[in-house]
Amino acid sequence: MDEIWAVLERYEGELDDLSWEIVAQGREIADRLNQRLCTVIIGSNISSLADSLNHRGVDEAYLLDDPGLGTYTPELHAQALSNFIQERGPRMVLWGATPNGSDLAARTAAKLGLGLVSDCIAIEVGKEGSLLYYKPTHKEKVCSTVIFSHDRPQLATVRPGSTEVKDLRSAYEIKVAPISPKLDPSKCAIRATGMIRTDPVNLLVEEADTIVSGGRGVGGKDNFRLLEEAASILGGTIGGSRIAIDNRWIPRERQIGQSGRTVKPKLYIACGISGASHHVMGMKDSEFIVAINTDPGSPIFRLADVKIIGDLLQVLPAITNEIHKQKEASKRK
Amino acid sequence: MNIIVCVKQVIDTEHLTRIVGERTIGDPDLPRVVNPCDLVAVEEALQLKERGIADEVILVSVGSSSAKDALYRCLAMGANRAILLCDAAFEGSDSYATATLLAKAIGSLDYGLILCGQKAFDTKAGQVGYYLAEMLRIPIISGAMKMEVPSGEKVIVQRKLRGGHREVLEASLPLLVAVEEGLNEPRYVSQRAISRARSKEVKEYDRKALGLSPEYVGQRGSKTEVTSLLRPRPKRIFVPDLSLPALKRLVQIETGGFKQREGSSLTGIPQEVASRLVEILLSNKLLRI
Repeated sequence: MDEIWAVLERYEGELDDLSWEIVAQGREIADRLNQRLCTVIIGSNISSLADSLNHRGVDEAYLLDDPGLGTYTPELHAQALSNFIQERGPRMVLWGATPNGSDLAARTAAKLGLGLVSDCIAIEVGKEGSLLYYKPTHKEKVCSTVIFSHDRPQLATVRPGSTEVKDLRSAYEIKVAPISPKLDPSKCAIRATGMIRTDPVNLLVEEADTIVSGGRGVGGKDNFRLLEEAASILGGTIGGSRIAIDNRWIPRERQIGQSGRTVKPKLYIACGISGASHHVMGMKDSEFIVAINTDPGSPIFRLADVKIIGDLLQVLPAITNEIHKQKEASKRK
Repeated sequence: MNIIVCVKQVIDTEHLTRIVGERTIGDPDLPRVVNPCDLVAVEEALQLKERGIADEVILVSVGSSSAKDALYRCLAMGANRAILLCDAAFEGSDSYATATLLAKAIGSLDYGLILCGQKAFDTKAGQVGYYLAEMLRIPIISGAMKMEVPSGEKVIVQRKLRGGHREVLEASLPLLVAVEEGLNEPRYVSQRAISRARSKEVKEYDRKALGLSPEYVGQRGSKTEVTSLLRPRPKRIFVPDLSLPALKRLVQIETGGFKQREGSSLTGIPQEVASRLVEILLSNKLLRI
């Protein structure tokens, strides 16, 4: 039987959360085509990871296990995976469109001389089992439908958050297949020499999952300290509307809006921002928006998931305090 | 050492309000710009030239004759010369076919470093660099947020990872580096400088001049094909922002606007509001204690 592969990423020793989305997407296609869904995990000493996939709708887990694959080594990972794809010839290979997932997918496609559709939001099974890939282009204004000119293997990366995670629990027992990948480290030209961990507060606004953002209502540079404290305890960074930048309360690269940066964080907390359209254009696609403002008529409230009508100078420290308290309490437990 | 920079001209999506063609956005009147992260690549190359690490900065682009405008802009920034790969037969090229053209043109040049933007602003595929590096048999490092060329022999790159972290990678030249926006701030060029740059020569090559047979270019040389362009599915309820000028409002309607949310209101004393918000954040997995 033909196979659909989902290449899963590891994050701090565990399977990445995104894995369940790729598995859900892969399962749907596999069912429509009446094919098997297999997951591929690349790493060193990873046999325990297959357990978490058991009874989750996955037919088989391939573990490409080698001491050289412990951390993400771009060329070596691509070697291991492309050799394995060449050997087995699956119908489709899926990755999450993360920095490492996209890198590995593109390297694999290049090595094998295959096409790749990146950042898909949907994959449909068309007539006679043909596959249609949908991806947003032109800054999300267009959705392109893409097909492959070759039948197999078809490679694609899937945008995080585009697939609903379903409960695929089943009695079905997973098969685990440890594979010793064929590797040739002498062909690797890139050396990994270190990691730089960034304190979330110093993140670029485009990269942050959480942004605490301030506008005119913050009132001054000193008050931005309250936003920084809230951002810090939430594991995020700070941003601001144009007024905060023009008054030099925060640096220019933290401006969010039409003339600044466009952001799509998981959580956006707008503090003392009225919600003028040039600011809204830069943050409207945030997943969850909290707005704090003294004026109940502020346009920002129209797009807020949680509206707090109140003084940010009082509310923000209370929020920081509350999180701090709960963190302390859970530490004591 | 020469540096080659791959440059793409893209539609300025700010002005994109309708889809004209079935497979391409055919409106010829739409304003076009240099792909933003390609400008970053040009800037980085110019800085290396100014520091004496690079001799010449050579631009290579695939596009229609209008793409010359993009090249003039980069020449005005200070690039030495430019090559445009232009032929009606190249239409319908995907990332793979585009890389085939670039590899053919670049293969005959003398270079130490190739720079390109991480992603094109329009198609956002981010693949040409990988195919190109493979075809030229040189290594590639992508996602560069910072780069150094300490000796003129090797390159040290900080690669963008999730969560704002960086991985430090090192490789000897020749090498291809795909750069992210944010690596540097591309220099400003005046319209006058761009006009002056128009006197510089842009060498044009078509399929025959590149010596490629028809099956390697355009749709035939591609691995994927765009079969249709759709509006994004209307999944949002929204009201156009009436404070916007008419054109902006139109853009907003065409692109789905923003979601008007039925948010819950929190009122009361700050401590109460805070504890209810924290509850909501926890239940939405936006906060981990």
